[in-house]
Amino acid sequence: MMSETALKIFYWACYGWICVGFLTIAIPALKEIYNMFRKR
Amino acid sequence: MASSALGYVVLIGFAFVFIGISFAVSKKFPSEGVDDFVVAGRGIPFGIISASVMISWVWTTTIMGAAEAGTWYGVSGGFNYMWGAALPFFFFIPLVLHLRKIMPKCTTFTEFIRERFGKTVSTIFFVFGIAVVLYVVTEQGVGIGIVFNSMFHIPYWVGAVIPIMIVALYISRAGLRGSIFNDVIQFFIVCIIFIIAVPIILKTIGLDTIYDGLMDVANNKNNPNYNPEALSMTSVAGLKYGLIAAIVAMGQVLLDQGYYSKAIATTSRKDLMKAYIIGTVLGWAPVPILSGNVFGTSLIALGIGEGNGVSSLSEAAPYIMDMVFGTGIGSLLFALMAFMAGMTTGGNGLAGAQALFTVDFYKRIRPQATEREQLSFGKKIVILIGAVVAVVAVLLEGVSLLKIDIFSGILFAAPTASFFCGLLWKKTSPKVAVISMVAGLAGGLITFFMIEDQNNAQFFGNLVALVLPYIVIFFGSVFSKYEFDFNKLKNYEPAQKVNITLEEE
Repeated sequence: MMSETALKIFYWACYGWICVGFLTIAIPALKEIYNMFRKR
Repeated sequence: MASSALGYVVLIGFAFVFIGISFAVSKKFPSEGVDDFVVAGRGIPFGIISASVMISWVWTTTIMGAAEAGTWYGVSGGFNYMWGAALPFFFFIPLVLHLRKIMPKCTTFTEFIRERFGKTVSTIFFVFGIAVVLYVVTEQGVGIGIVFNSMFHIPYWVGAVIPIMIVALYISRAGLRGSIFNDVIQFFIVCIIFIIAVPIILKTIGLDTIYDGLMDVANNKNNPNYNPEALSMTSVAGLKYGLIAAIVAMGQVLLDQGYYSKAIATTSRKDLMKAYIIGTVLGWAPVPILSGNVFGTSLIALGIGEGNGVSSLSEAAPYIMDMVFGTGIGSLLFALMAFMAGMTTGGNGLAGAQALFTVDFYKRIRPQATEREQLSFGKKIVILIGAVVAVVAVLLEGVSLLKIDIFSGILFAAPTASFFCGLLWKKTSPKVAVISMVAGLAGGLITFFMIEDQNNAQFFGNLVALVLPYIVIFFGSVFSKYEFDFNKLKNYEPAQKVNITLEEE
Protein backbone atom coordinates (compact mmCIF):
# COMPACT_ATOMS: atom_id res chain seq x y z
CA MET A 1 0.00 0.00 0.00
CA MET A 2 1.37 3.44 -0.95
CA SER A 3 2.31 5.83 1.83
CA GLU A 4 1.09 9.43 1.79
CA THR A 5 4.58 10.68 0.94
CA ALA A 6 4.89 8.21 -1.93
CA LEU A 7 1.49 9.30 -3.29
CA LYS A 8 2.50 12.96 -3.18
CA ILE A 9 5.83 12.24 -4.92
CA PHE A 10 4.00 10.15 -7.54
CA TYR A 11 1.47 12.89 -8.32
CA TRP A 12 4.01 15.70 -8.54
CA ALA A 13 6.50 13.60 -10.51
CA CYS A 14 3.79 12.95 -13.11
CA TYR A 15 3.02 16.64 -13.20
CA GLY A 16 6.70 17.46 -13.72
CA TRP A 17 6.74 14.81 -16.46
CA ILE A 18 3.97 16.50 -18.44
CA CYS A 19 5.64 19.90 -18.07
CA VAL A 20 8.97 18.57 -19.38
CA GLY A 21 7.20 16.74 -22.21
CA PHE A 22 5.28 19.85 -23.21
CA LEU A 23 8.42 22.01 -23.37
CA THR A 24 10.46 19.35 -25.19
CA ILE A 25 7.83 19.29 -27.94
CA ALA A 26 6.57 22.88 -27.90
CA ILE A 27 9.89 24.72 -28.31
CA PRO A 28 11.08 22.84 -31.43
CA ALA A 29 7.54 22.87 -32.87
CA LEU A 30 7.29 26.66 -32.57
CA LYS A 31 10.73 27.14 -34.15
CA GLU A 32 9.83 24.82 -37.02
CA ILE A 33 6.49 26.55 -37.70
CA TYR A 34 8.22 29.93 -37.73
CA ASN A 35 10.84 28.63 -40.20
CA MET A 36 8.17 27.04 -42.43
CA PHE A 37 6.19 30.25 -42.71
CA ARG A 38 9.32 32.34 -43.19
CA LYS A 39 10.55 30.16 -46.05
CA ARG A 40 7.32 30.14 -48.10
CA MET B 1 -24.22 22.40 -15.52
CA ALA B 2 -23.18 25.43 -17.61
CA SER B 3 -25.51 27.20 -20.03
CA SER B 4 -26.17 25.69 -23.44
CA ALA B 5 -25.16 28.96 -25.06
CA LEU B 6 -21.56 28.50 -23.87
CA GLY B 7 -21.47 25.02 -25.39
CA TYR B 8 -22.78 26.28 -28.73
CA VAL B 9 -20.18 29.08 -28.68
CA VAL B 10 -17.43 26.47 -28.27
CA LEU B 11 -18.76 24.24 -31.06
CA ILE B 12 -19.49 26.95 -33.58
CA GLY B 13 -16.56 29.16 -32.61
CA PHE B 14 -14.05 26.38 -33.10
CA ALA B 15 -15.77 25.27 -36.30
CA PHE B 16 -14.89 28.67 -37.77
CA VAL B 17 -11.37 28.59 -36.32
CA PHE B 18 -10.36 25.13 -37.56
CA ILE B 19 -12.04 25.28 -40.92
CA GLY B 20 -10.57 28.76 -41.34
CA ILE B 21 -7.11 27.40 -40.54
CA SER B 22 -7.54 24.64 -43.12
CA PHE B 23 -8.36 27.25 -45.77
CA ALA B 24 -5.31 29.30 -44.75
CA VAL B 25 -3.03 26.25 -44.81
CA SER B 26 -4.29 25.08 -48.20
CA LYS B 27 -3.73 28.59 -49.58
CA LYS B 28 -0.25 29.02 -48.02
CA PHE B 29 0.87 25.48 -48.92
CA PRO B 30 -1.09 24.59 -52.08
CA SER B 31 -1.14 20.88 -52.77
CA GLU B 32 1.43 19.76 -55.35
CA GLY B 33 -0.05 16.35 -55.97
CA VAL B 34 -1.33 13.24 -54.19
CA ASP B 35 1.86 12.66 -52.21
CA ASP B 36 1.94 16.25 -51.01
CA PHE B 37 -1.75 16.05 -49.99
CA VAL B 38 -1.81 12.71 -48.16
CA VAL B 39 1.66 12.70 -46.57
CA ALA B 40 2.45 16.44 -46.63
CA GLY B 41 5.25 15.96 -49.16
CA ARG B 42 7.33 13.91 -46.67
CA GLY B 43 8.90 17.07 -45.30
CA ILE B 44 7.48 17.74 -41.82
CA PRO B 45 10.16 18.17 -39.12
CA PHE B 46 10.20 16.31 -35.82
CA GLY B 47 8.77 18.89 -33.39
CA ILE B 48 5.59 19.40 -35.38
CA ILE B 49 5.13 15.64 -35.92
CA SER B 50 5.82 15.03 -32.23
CA ALA B 51 3.08 17.48 -31.19
CA SER B 52 0.72 15.94 -33.74
CA VAL B 53 1.45 12.35 -32.64
CA MET B 54 1.08 13.27 -28.97
CA ILE B 55 -2.28 14.99 -29.32
CA SER B 56 -3.73 12.47 -31.81
CA TRP B 57 -3.06 9.71 -29.30
CA VAL B 58 -4.94 11.73 -26.63
CA TRP B 59 -8.45 10.41 -27.19
CA THR B 60 -11.52 11.43 -25.23
CA THR B 61 -10.97 7.96 -23.68
CA THR B 62 -7.45 8.95 -22.61
CA ILE B 63 -8.99 11.53 -20.28
CA MET B 64 -12.42 10.09 -19.46
CA GLY B 65 -11.54 6.40 -19.80
CA ALA B 66 -8.32 6.70 -17.79
CA ALA B 67 -10.29 8.63 -15.14
CA GLU B 68 -12.83 5.79 -15.10
CA ALA B 69 -9.95 3.31 -14.73
CA GLY B 70 -8.79 5.36 -11.73
CA THR B 71 -12.21 4.92 -10.12
CA TRP B 72 -12.17 1.14 -10.73
CA TYR B 73 -8.54 0.34 -9.81
CA GLY B 74 -7.34 3.25 -7.69
CA VAL B 75 -3.78 4.64 -8.15
CA SER B 76 -2.78 1.90 -10.61
CA GLY B 77 -5.70 2.58 -13.00
CA GLY B 78 -4.19 5.50 -14.90
CA PHE B 79 -0.72 3.93 -14.85
CA ASN B 80 -1.98 0.63 -16.29
CA TYR B 81 -3.98 2.48 -18.94
CA MET B 82 -0.78 4.35 -19.85
CA TRP B 83 1.61 1.43 -20.33
CA GLY B 84 -1.07 -0.63 -22.02
CA ALA B 85 -1.90 2.05 -24.57
CA ALA B 86 1.75 3.10 -25.09
CA LEU B 87 3.16 -0.41 -25.60
CA PRO B 88 1.91 -0.80 -29.21
CA PHE B 89 3.88 2.29 -30.23
CA PHE B 90 7.05 0.40 -29.30
CA PHE B 91 6.06 -2.21 -31.87
CA PHE B 92 4.92 0.43 -34.34
CA ILE B 93 8.11 2.56 -34.27
CA PRO B 94 10.60 -0.16 -35.35
CA LEU B 95 7.98 -1.54 -37.74
CA VAL B 96 7.53 1.74 -39.61
CA LEU B 97 11.27 2.52 -39.51
CA HIS B 98 11.88 -0.85 -41.14
CA LEU B 99 9.07 -0.25 -43.67
CA ARG B 100 10.54 3.10 -44.68
CA LYS B 101 13.92 1.41 -45.15
CA ILE B 102 12.80 -1.57 -47.25
CA MET B 103 10.04 0.22 -49.22
CA PRO B 104 11.02 3.92 -49.29
CA LYS B 105 8.24 5.06 -51.64
CA CYS B 106 5.45 3.34 -49.72
CA THR B 107 2.60 5.62 -48.65
CA THR B 108 -0.05 3.33 -47.16
CA PHE B 109 0.43 0.11 -45.20
CA THR B 110 -1.97 -1.59 -47.64
CA GLU B 111 0.49 -0.83 -50.47
CA PHE B 112 3.08 -2.86 -48.58
CA ILE B 113 0.57 -5.66 -47.95
CA ARG B 114 -0.35 -5.74 -51.65
CA GLU B 115 3.29 -6.02 -52.74
CA ARG B 116 4.05 -8.54 -49.98
CA PHE B 117 0.98 -10.78 -49.92
CA GLY B 118 -1.05 -9.89 -53.01
CA LYS B 119 -4.37 -8.20 -53.74
CA THR B 120 -6.65 -10.48 -51.70
CA VAL B 121 -4.80 -10.01 -48.42
CA SER B 122 -4.41 -6.30 -49.20
CA THR B 123 -8.20 -6.01 -49.58
CA ILE B 124 -8.69 -7.68 -46.19
CA PHE B 125 -6.28 -5.22 -44.59
CA PHE B 126 -7.96 -2.32 -46.39
CA VAL B 127 -11.29 -3.35 -44.86
CA PHE B 128 -9.70 -3.59 -41.40
CA GLY B 129 -7.97 -0.24 -41.91
CA ILE B 130 -11.26 1.47 -42.73
CA ALA B 131 -13.02 -0.37 -39.89
CA VAL B 132 -10.43 0.97 -37.41
CA VAL B 133 -11.00 4.51 -38.70
CA LEU B 134 -14.78 4.16 -38.47
CA TYR B 135 -14.49 2.76 -34.96
CA VAL B 136 -11.94 5.31 -33.68
CA VAL B 137 -13.64 8.38 -35.14
CA THR B 138 -17.09 7.18 -34.02
CA GLU B 139 -15.79 6.74 -30.48
CA GLN B 140 -14.51 10.32 -30.46
CA GLY B 141 -17.92 11.57 -31.60
CA VAL B 142 -19.59 9.53 -28.84
CA GLY B 143 -17.19 10.94 -26.24
CA ILE B 144 -17.69 14.56 -27.29
CA GLY B 145 -21.47 14.03 -27.48
CA ILE B 146 -21.49 12.74 -23.88
CA VAL B 147 -19.34 15.63 -22.67
CA PHE B 148 -21.41 18.40 -24.30
CA ASN B 149 -24.65 16.79 -23.17
CA SER B 150 -23.57 16.46 -19.53
CA MET B 151 -21.74 19.79 -19.31
CA PHE B 152 -23.95 22.11 -21.37
CA HIS B 153 -27.21 20.19 -21.74
CA ILE B 154 -26.76 20.33 -25.53
CA PRO B 155 -28.56 17.43 -27.29
CA TYR B 156 -26.18 14.48 -27.52
CA TRP B 157 -26.54 14.24 -31.32
CA VAL B 158 -25.42 17.87 -31.80
CA GLY B 159 -22.26 17.32 -29.72
CA ALA B 160 -21.52 14.11 -31.62
CA VAL B 161 -22.20 15.30 -35.18
CA ILE B 162 -20.74 18.83 -35.33
CA PRO B 163 -17.13 17.98 -34.31
CA ILE B 164 -17.01 15.02 -36.70
CA MET B 165 -18.17 17.18 -39.60
CA ILE B 166 -15.72 19.97 -38.67
CA VAL B 167 -12.87 17.46 -38.86
CA ALA B 168 -14.15 15.95 -42.10
CA LEU B 169 -14.32 19.41 -43.68
CA TYR B 170 -10.83 20.49 -42.71
CA ILE B 171 -9.23 17.19 -43.72
CA SER B 172 -11.09 17.32 -47.02
CA ARG B 173 -9.81 20.85 -47.62
CA ALA B 174 -6.19 20.66 -46.47
CA GLY B 175 -5.26 16.97 -46.22
CA LEU B 176 -2.63 15.74 -43.78
CA ARG B 177 -0.86 19.10 -43.60
CA GLY B 178 -4.08 20.78 -42.44
CA SER B 179 -4.63 18.00 -39.93
CA ILE B 180 -1.11 18.39 -38.55
CA PHE B 181 -1.34 22.19 -38.22
CA ASN B 182 -4.65 21.93 -36.40
CA ASP B 183 -3.10 19.24 -34.18
CA VAL B 184 -0.27 21.56 -33.14
CA ILE B 185 -2.69 24.30 -32.10
CA GLN B 186 -4.79 21.84 -30.13
CA PHE B 187 -1.65 20.35 -28.56
CA PHE B 188 -0.89 23.76 -27.06
CA ILE B 189 -4.46 24.34 -25.83
CA VAL B 190 -4.88 20.89 -24.24
CA CYS B 191 -1.45 20.87 -22.59
CA ILE B 192 -1.81 24.38 -21.21
CA ILE B 193 -5.24 23.55 -19.74
CA PHE B 194 -3.83 20.39 -18.15
CA ILE B 195 -0.72 22.10 -16.80
CA ILE B 196 -2.77 24.92 -15.23
CA ALA B 197 -5.68 22.78 -14.02
CA VAL B 198 -3.83 19.89 -12.31
CA PRO B 199 -2.10 21.84 -9.50
CA ILE B 200 -5.26 23.86 -8.86
CA ILE B 201 -7.31 20.67 -8.53
CA LEU B 202 -4.75 19.04 -6.21
CA LYS B 203 -4.51 22.19 -4.07
CA THR B 204 -8.30 22.62 -3.88
CA ILE B 205 -9.12 19.02 -2.97
CA GLY B 206 -5.89 18.52 -1.01
CA LEU B 207 -3.55 15.56 -1.34
CA ASP B 208 -4.13 14.79 2.34
CA THR B 209 -7.87 14.52 1.67
CA ILE B 210 -7.25 12.31 -1.37
CA TYR B 211 -4.94 10.04 0.61
CA ASP B 212 -7.28 9.77 3.60
CA GLY B 213 -10.17 9.06 1.24
CA LEU B 214 -8.24 6.34 -0.57
CA MET B 215 -7.26 4.77 2.76
CA ASP B 216 -10.97 4.54 3.58
CA VAL B 217 -11.72 3.08 0.13
CA ALA B 218 -8.98 0.46 0.71
CA ASN B 219 -9.85 -0.46 4.30
CA ASN B 220 -13.52 0.26 4.95
CA LYS B 221 -15.81 -2.48 3.62
CA ASN B 222 -18.81 -0.17 4.01
CA ASN B 223 -17.29 2.38 1.64
CA PRO B 224 -19.42 2.38 -1.57
CA ASN B 225 -16.15 2.34 -3.59
CA TYR B 226 -14.47 -0.32 -1.43
CA ASN B 227 -11.35 -1.67 -3.15
CA PRO B 228 -8.51 -3.13 -1.03
CA GLU B 229 -6.04 -2.44 -3.88
CA ALA B 230 -6.95 1.24 -4.26
CA LEU B 231 -3.53 2.34 -2.98
CA SER B 232 -1.53 -0.42 -4.63
CA MET B 233 0.45 0.02 -7.84
CA THR B 234 0.65 -3.77 -8.17
CA SER B 235 -3.09 -4.41 -8.31
CA VAL B 236 -3.68 -7.67 -10.22
CA ALA B 237 -6.96 -6.41 -11.64
CA GLY B 238 -5.18 -3.24 -12.78
CA LEU B 239 -2.41 -5.27 -14.42
CA LYS B 240 -4.94 -7.37 -16.35
CA TYR B 241 -6.64 -4.15 -17.42
CA GLY B 242 -3.28 -2.82 -18.68
CA LEU B 243 -2.73 -5.97 -20.70
CA ILE B 244 -6.18 -5.66 -22.26
CA ALA B 245 -5.41 -1.99 -22.99
CA ALA B 246 -2.20 -3.11 -24.78
CA ILE B 247 -4.02 -5.67 -26.89
CA VAL B 248 -6.88 -3.27 -27.70
CA ALA B 249 -4.42 -0.55 -28.68
CA MET B 250 -2.25 -2.90 -30.76
CA GLY B 251 -4.74 -3.10 -33.63
CA GLN B 252 -5.74 0.54 -33.24
CA VAL B 253 -2.13 1.65 -33.82
CA LEU B 254 -0.87 -0.96 -36.30
CA LEU B 255 -3.96 -0.74 -38.53
CA ASP B 256 -4.43 3.06 -38.37
CA GLN B 257 -3.12 4.59 -41.59
CA GLY B 258 -3.08 8.02 -39.90
CA TYR B 259 -0.01 7.04 -37.84
CA TYR B 260 1.74 5.66 -40.92
CA SER B 261 0.93 8.86 -42.82
CA LYS B 262 2.50 10.95 -40.07
CA ALA B 263 5.52 8.64 -39.86
CA ILE B 264 5.98 8.86 -43.64
CA ALA B 265 5.43 12.65 -43.54
CA THR B 266 8.49 13.04 -41.28
CA THR B 267 11.62 14.41 -42.96
CA SER B 268 13.83 11.43 -42.15
CA ARG B 269 13.87 8.11 -40.28
CA LYS B 270 15.87 9.76 -37.50
CA ASP B 271 13.24 12.48 -37.10
CA LEU B 272 10.51 9.83 -37.17
CA MET B 273 12.05 7.92 -34.27
CA LYS B 274 12.63 11.10 -32.24
CA ALA B 275 9.12 12.40 -32.91
CA TYR B 276 7.31 9.21 -31.98
CA ILE B 277 9.37 8.42 -28.88
CA ILE B 278 9.20 11.96 -27.51
CA GLY B 279 5.56 12.38 -28.51
CA THR B 280 4.53 9.13 -26.81
CA VAL B 281 6.86 8.82 -23.80
CA LEU B 282 7.40 12.43 -22.79
CA GLY B 283 4.25 14.04 -24.14
CA TRP B 284 1.38 11.55 -24.05
CA ALA B 285 2.27 9.13 -21.22
CA PRO B 286 1.67 11.45 -18.23
CA VAL B 287 -1.80 12.43 -19.51
CA PRO B 288 -3.64 9.17 -18.67
CA ILE B 289 -1.71 8.75 -15.41
CA LEU B 290 -2.76 12.22 -14.29
CA SER B 291 -6.32 11.72 -15.58
CA GLY B 292 -6.59 8.44 -13.69
CA ASN B 293 -5.32 9.93 -10.47
CA VAL B 294 -6.32 13.58 -10.43
CA PHE B 295 -9.86 12.85 -11.70
CA GLY B 296 -10.50 9.18 -10.98
CA THR B 297 -8.98 8.54 -7.57
CA SER B 298 -10.06 11.99 -6.35
CA LEU B 299 -13.66 11.06 -7.13
CA ILE B 300 -13.62 7.82 -5.12
CA ALA B 301 -11.60 9.42 -2.33
CA LEU B 302 -14.39 11.99 -1.95
CA GLY B 303 -16.92 9.18 -1.50
CA ILE B 304 -18.62 9.73 -4.86
CA GLY B 305 -19.59 6.79 -7.02
CA GLU B 306 -22.08 5.46 -9.51
CA GLY B 307 -25.56 6.42 -8.35
CA ASN B 308 -24.07 8.49 -5.57
CA GLY B 309 -23.11 11.84 -7.09
CA VAL B 310 -22.57 10.68 -10.68
CA SER B 311 -24.79 8.51 -12.87
CA SER B 312 -21.78 6.85 -14.53
CA LEU B 313 -18.08 6.65 -13.62
CA SER B 314 -17.29 8.04 -17.11
CA GLU B 315 -18.29 11.38 -15.59
CA ALA B 316 -15.37 11.41 -13.11
CA ALA B 317 -13.34 14.00 -15.05
CA PRO B 318 -16.14 16.51 -15.77
CA TYR B 319 -17.45 16.15 -12.19
CA ILE B 320 -14.07 17.07 -10.65
CA MET B 321 -13.56 19.97 -13.08
CA ASP B 322 -17.03 21.36 -12.25
CA MET B 323 -16.45 20.92 -8.54
CA VAL B 324 -13.09 22.73 -8.52
CA PHE B 325 -13.61 25.46 -11.11
CA GLY B 326 -17.33 26.06 -10.83
CA THR B 327 -19.93 25.06 -13.34
CA GLY B 328 -19.14 27.67 -16.02
CA ILE B 329 -15.34 27.65 -16.23
CA GLY B 330 -14.93 24.02 -15.17
CA SER B 331 -17.33 22.86 -17.86
CA LEU B 332 -15.67 25.05 -20.46
CA LEU B 333 -12.14 23.86 -19.69
CA PHE B 334 -13.10 20.22 -19.61
CA ALA B 335 -15.20 20.50 -22.74
CA LEU B 336 -12.30 22.16 -24.56
CA MET B 337 -9.95 19.32 -23.60
CA ALA B 338 -12.38 16.60 -24.60
CA PHE B 339 -13.41 18.42 -27.79
CA MET B 340 -9.82 18.87 -28.93
CA ALA B 341 -8.76 15.38 -27.90
CA GLY B 342 -11.62 13.98 -29.96
CA MET B 343 -11.03 16.23 -32.95
CA THR B 344 -7.30 15.51 -33.25
CA THR B 345 -7.82 11.77 -32.97
CA GLY B 346 -10.69 11.96 -35.44
CA GLY B 347 -8.50 14.03 -37.77
CA ASN B 348 -5.74 11.43 -37.60
CA GLY B 349 -8.22 8.70 -38.49
CA LEU B 350 -9.88 10.59 -41.33
CA ALA B 351 -6.52 11.68 -42.80
CA GLY B 352 -5.53 8.01 -42.79
CA ALA B 353 -8.79 6.98 -44.47
CA GLN B 354 -8.26 9.70 -47.05
CA ALA B 355 -4.82 8.25 -47.86
CA LEU B 356 -6.20 4.70 -48.11
CA PHE B 357 -9.00 5.68 -50.46
CA THR B 358 -6.96 8.14 -52.55
CA VAL B 359 -3.79 6.09 -53.00
CA ASP B 360 -5.10 2.54 -52.78
CA PHE B 361 -8.81 2.20 -53.43
CA TYR B 362 -9.34 4.71 -56.23
CA LYS B 363 -6.40 3.48 -58.29
CA ARG B 364 -7.76 -0.07 -58.09
CA ILE B 365 -11.16 0.88 -59.46
CA ARG B 366 -9.80 3.49 -61.93
CA PRO B 367 -6.18 2.59 -62.80
CA GLN B 368 -6.00 5.35 -65.45
CA ALA B 369 -7.08 8.10 -63.03
CA THR B 370 -4.88 11.20 -62.96
CA GLU B 371 -3.54 12.61 -59.70
CA ARG B 372 -6.05 15.47 -60.00
CA GLU B 373 -8.93 12.97 -60.17
CA GLN B 374 -7.49 11.03 -57.23
CA LEU B 375 -7.30 14.22 -55.16
CA SER B 376 -10.86 15.19 -56.03
CA PHE B 377 -12.07 11.73 -54.99
CA GLY B 378 -10.03 11.86 -51.77
CA LYS B 379 -11.60 15.18 -50.77
CA LYS B 380 -15.16 13.93 -51.37
CA ILE B 381 -14.78 10.51 -49.72
CA VAL B 382 -13.68 12.07 -46.42
CA ILE B 383 -16.95 14.03 -46.24
CA LEU B 384 -18.92 10.83 -46.91
CA ILE B 385 -17.00 8.89 -44.24
CA GLY B 386 -17.55 11.76 -41.79
CA ALA B 387 -21.30 11.64 -42.45
CA VAL B 388 -21.44 7.84 -41.93
CA VAL B 389 -19.47 8.12 -38.69
CA ALA B 390 -21.74 10.92 -37.45
CA VAL B 391 -24.84 8.75 -37.97
CA VAL B 392 -23.27 5.77 -36.17
CA ALA B 393 -22.14 7.99 -33.27
CA VAL B 394 -25.73 9.21 -32.85
CA LEU B 395 -27.01 5.63 -32.77
CA LEU B 396 -24.49 4.70 -30.04
CA GLU B 397 -25.93 7.07 -27.44
CA GLY B 398 -25.79 5.50 -23.97
CA VAL B 399 -23.14 2.85 -24.68
CA SER B 400 -20.06 2.75 -22.37
CA LEU B 401 -16.84 4.01 -24.00
CA LEU B 402 -14.57 1.52 -22.24
CA LYS B 403 -16.79 -1.43 -23.10
CA ILE B 404 -16.68 -0.48 -26.82
CA ASP B 405 -12.90 -0.26 -26.57
CA ILE B 406 -12.37 -3.65 -24.96
CA PHE B 407 -14.56 -5.63 -27.42
CA SER B 408 -12.85 -3.98 -30.42
CA GLY B 409 -9.52 -5.42 -29.20
CA ILE B 410 -10.59 -8.89 -30.29
CA LEU B 411 -11.54 -7.70 -33.77
CA PHE B 412 -8.47 -5.59 -34.51
CA ALA B 413 -5.77 -7.64 -32.78
CA ALA B 414 -6.24 -10.65 -35.08
CA PRO B 415 -4.57 -9.21 -38.26
CA THR B 416 -1.56 -7.65 -36.51
CA ALA B 417 0.52 -10.84 -36.41
CA SER B 418 0.38 -11.34 -40.19
CA PHE B 419 1.38 -7.72 -40.74
CA PHE B 420 4.23 -7.89 -38.26
CA CYS B 421 5.52 -11.26 -39.49
CA GLY B 422 4.98 -10.27 -43.11
CA LEU B 423 7.30 -7.31 -42.62
CA LEU B 424 10.03 -9.19 -40.78
CA TRP B 425 9.91 -12.86 -41.86
CA LYS B 426 10.32 -13.91 -45.48
CA LYS B 427 8.68 -17.32 -44.87
CA THR B 428 5.20 -15.97 -44.09
CA SER B 429 3.02 -16.79 -47.07
CA PRO B 430 -0.27 -15.11 -48.08
CA LYS B 431 -2.22 -18.30 -47.32
CA VAL B 432 -0.80 -18.58 -43.80
CA ALA B 433 -1.45 -14.85 -43.25
CA VAL B 434 -5.15 -15.26 -44.03
CA ILE B 435 -5.50 -18.45 -41.96
CA SER B 436 -3.86 -16.73 -38.98
CA MET B 437 -6.32 -13.83 -39.17
CA VAL B 438 -9.34 -16.13 -39.33
CA ALA B 439 -7.97 -18.24 -36.46
CA GLY B 440 -7.31 -15.17 -34.30
CA LEU B 441 -10.75 -13.69 -34.91
CA ALA B 442 -12.60 -16.97 -34.42
CA GLY B 443 -10.51 -17.99 -31.41
CA GLY B 444 -10.92 -14.60 -29.74
CA LEU B 445 -14.68 -14.45 -30.27
CA ILE B 446 -15.27 -18.06 -29.21
CA THR B 447 -13.21 -17.51 -26.06
CA PHE B 448 -15.07 -14.27 -25.32
CA PHE B 449 -18.54 -15.82 -25.60
CA MET B 450 -17.65 -19.07 -23.84
CA ILE B 451 -16.37 -17.54 -20.61
CA GLU B 452 -19.14 -16.44 -18.27
CA ASP B 453 -17.24 -13.95 -16.14
CA GLN B 454 -17.19 -10.69 -18.15
CA ASN B 455 -13.74 -9.55 -16.97
CA ASN B 456 -12.12 -12.88 -17.79
CA ALA B 457 -14.02 -13.10 -21.08
CA GLN B 458 -12.55 -9.77 -22.19
CA PHE B 459 -9.08 -10.61 -20.98
CA PHE B 460 -8.78 -14.08 -22.50
CA GLY B 461 -10.74 -13.18 -25.63
CA ASN B 462 -8.31 -10.36 -26.38
CA LEU B 463 -5.26 -12.47 -25.51
CA VAL B 464 -6.30 -15.34 -27.81
CA ALA B 465 -7.09 -12.92 -30.68
CA LEU B 466 -3.59 -11.44 -30.42
CA VAL B 467 -1.44 -14.49 -29.68
CA LEU B 468 -3.09 -17.36 -31.58
CA PRO B 469 -2.23 -15.86 -35.03
CA TYR B 470 1.49 -15.82 -34.11
CA ILE B 471 1.31 -19.52 -33.24
CA VAL B 472 -0.50 -20.29 -36.51
CA ILE B 473 2.05 -18.28 -38.51
CA PHE B 474 4.99 -19.98 -36.81
CA PHE B 475 3.78 -23.54 -37.38
CA GLY B 476 2.43 -22.69 -40.84
CA SER B 477 5.68 -21.12 -42.01
CA VAL B 478 8.62 -22.75 -40.28
CA PHE B 479 8.64 -25.88 -42.47
CA SER B 480 7.32 -24.14 -45.58
CA LYS B 481 9.46 -23.66 -48.68
CA TYR B 482 7.88 -20.29 -49.39
CA GLU B 483 10.25 -17.32 -49.29
CA PHE B 484 9.60 -13.69 -50.19
CA ASP B 485 12.34 -11.53 -51.68
CA PHE B 486 12.20 -8.23 -49.74
CA ASN B 487 14.65 -6.61 -52.18
CA LYS B 488 11.77 -6.27 -54.65
CA LEU B 489 10.20 -3.63 -52.41
CA LYS B 490 13.15 -1.24 -52.63
CA ASN B 491 12.33 -0.46 -56.26
CA TYR B 492 8.58 -0.13 -55.74
CA GLU B 493 7.20 2.79 -57.73
CA PRO B 494 3.74 4.03 -56.74
CA ALA B 495 1.28 5.39 -59.29
CA GLN B 496 1.58 8.93 -57.93
CA LYS B 497 4.75 11.02 -58.10
CA VAL B 498 6.90 10.65 -54.99
CA ASN B 499 10.05 12.72 -54.51
CA ILE B 500 12.48 11.27 -52.02
CA THR B 501 16.24 10.89 -51.88
CA LEU B 502 16.89 7.22 -51.20
CA GLU B 503 20.20 7.94 -49.42
CA GLU B 504 18.27 9.81 -46.71
CA GLU B 505 16.58 6.55 -45.77
